[in-house]
Parts: sequence; structure tokens; C-alpha cells
Amino acid sequence: MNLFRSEQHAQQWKDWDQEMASTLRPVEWWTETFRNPIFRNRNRSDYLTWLTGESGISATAAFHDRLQQ
Amino acid sequence: MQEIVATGVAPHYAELAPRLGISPNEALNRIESILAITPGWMHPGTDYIASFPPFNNQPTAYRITVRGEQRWFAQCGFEALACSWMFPGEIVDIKAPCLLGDDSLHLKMKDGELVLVDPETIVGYTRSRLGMEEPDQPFR
Repeated sequence: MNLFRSEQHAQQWKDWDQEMASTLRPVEWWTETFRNPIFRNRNRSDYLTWLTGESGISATAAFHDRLQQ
Repeated sequence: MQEIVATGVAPHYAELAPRLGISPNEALNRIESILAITPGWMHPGTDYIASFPPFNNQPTAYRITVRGEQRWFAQCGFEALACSWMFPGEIVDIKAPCLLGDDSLHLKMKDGELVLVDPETIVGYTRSRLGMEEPDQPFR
């Protein structure tokens, strides 16, 4: 899970895998993805309780849904 | 999390135990339980936390600087984008080398917002599947 200077750089990387080309996205897209509450809430003192509760499960599902876009 | 945010280093279970008022074994058990449900991991064959997202206890290419101090490393390029949530109101500076040898990458973030993207063409890519559904599918 790396950042690259450009799409061309990513495609020239030694470990480029065309099958995973759908993960090649602008950094702005990944930034939005990592705004999900499962990342935002990590500094909550009750994070694990939250993560395994209804809100956390819902947020995790939303994260996975976004990855399928 | 408080410890790694404050110092850049995840505590050893034997350090954590007295702070929590529990035995070292219980502290280790709790760490392992936490890592089982979050995308972190122990260094193989040891009792040391290797990764505690969004941070990495071992150095990575993703250097995180806050208030002029480069104490932290992100678990990966994607988790680097989540580090600013750990420092509310602060500018979080992310620097990484180019994996192809060109000029390095530089991002600045504040409260989840990108305030600098240099160069503007930066992209993210992974050849690994993302997510936490399978126990052998590390988030890296």
C-alpha cells in the first residue's frame, strides 16, 4: 500500500500487478476513504468497544463498500 | 495508542502491565487480542508490537512529522493518510521516498484534510487486498 508520484510511476513499479489496477486512485480518493470513522475514532478511549459495536460494524461495512467501488 | 502518539513508540507489554495494574501475561494477552481485531501485528517470533495502525513501531518509508519532530512512521502509504486523526488541530507532515528513485513525495494534512500534495499527481496503489475479513490478510 504505497504512494507514488503519478499513475505512470505506479505502473512502472517492480511489484505492479495489473489485476489490482482498480486500487490505483488519486491520493484525494484514498484520503476520503481514510476519513471513515474506523480510522477517525482510533484515539477514542473506548475504541474497541465502539469498533465491535453497531456503529463500528456499520462503519467497517461502509469502508468495505467503498473499496468495492 | 496514547503512548505511541506521545512518543512514537508502542510500549512493550511489560511496560504496559503496571500502568494498567495487570500482570505482564494479561497485558500481552490484551495486546494480542487487540491486534486480532485491528490491522496490526507482532513482529514474527517475538513479543514486540511491530505495527499498531496507523503507526508502525518499525521504521517504514512513511515518515511522520508533527510540531517539527519526526518521531513517527506510518504503517503504509494509505495509513499515513489516517495519521492526522491522531493529532487533532495539528499539521501532520508526511514524507516518503519515490519507489522509482525520483524526487520524494510530500503531503501535509490537518484533521483529515490535505493541505499540501507535492507533486499534485500523487496516487495510491496496492497489490494486496485491503480489509480485515480474513485473518491472514494483513492490512499492508
